Amino acid sequence: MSGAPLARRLTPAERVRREREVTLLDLVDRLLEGGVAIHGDITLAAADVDLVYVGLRAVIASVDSVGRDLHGPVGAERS
Amino acid sequence: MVYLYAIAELPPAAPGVDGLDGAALRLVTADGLGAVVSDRDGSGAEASAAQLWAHEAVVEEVMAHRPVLPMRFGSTLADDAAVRELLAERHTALVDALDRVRGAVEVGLRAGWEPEAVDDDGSGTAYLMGRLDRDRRAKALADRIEGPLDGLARASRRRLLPGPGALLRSAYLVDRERLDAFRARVEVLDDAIGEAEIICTGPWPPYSFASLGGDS
Repeated sequence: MSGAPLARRLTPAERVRREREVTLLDLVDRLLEGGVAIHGDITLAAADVDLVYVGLRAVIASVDSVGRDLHGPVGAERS
Repeated sequence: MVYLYAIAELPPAAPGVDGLDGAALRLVTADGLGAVVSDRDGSGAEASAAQLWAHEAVVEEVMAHRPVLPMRFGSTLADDAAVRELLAERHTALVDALDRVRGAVEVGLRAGWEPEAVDDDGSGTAYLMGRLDRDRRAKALADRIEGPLDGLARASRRRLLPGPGALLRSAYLVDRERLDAFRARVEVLDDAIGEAEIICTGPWPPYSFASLGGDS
């Protein structure tokens, strides 16, 4: 057994929301870590990196909350 | 300064979008390759979501018409001469990379799971054994997800994240005409594998497969 079955599958609406959140994470990962890299010519000002990290934390926080909601009590209310 | 979005084979169609901050896009060419660029004050770029999406929109627009290598966000060079120099110096690596991604798109995949908490009875040994066991189960679960997908992809990159929550993060290079079949198989897997939740994103330009192998 590789792990317990998830307590509840995502509803279609939750899935769409989750995919949107993950898409932003994937966008950031790809554009900042992927693509052709010209060594030494990429400059992100310190404040700008904070922007990205703030954005990431906001996304991660919301992704986490989806995770918490998934494993909360059965029948818990969801907005 | 010149901001670079993508490198493509010539001739790319004229993109129907603007670049970052509404700057006009133009093409700098050398040896049958073209870099899609816009002019910019100063080097670098603000990495906000809006700017990232603006960069992405340009790459996707170019990709609709020609094989393309997306540039990393923020790539800037001094002037057109420097761009032409890049295209000439890295010509072989660029052509090889374009061949690798020709006719394909990138699909992102993330899988999450909820492993049982690792027993920590204060004995370091029990904890380590528990962690090893969890890592083994993580790998087995990842293999169950990825085995059926490898056959539908041209290439893949995977990162295993065996902690609680995130399990797997992968990028697949998929022939355009196989994209529907690939996504259908992911849905089947997600339904079939109760222990994991699988989310796909994309299709993306091939950011994860654009490495020139020894960056310039």
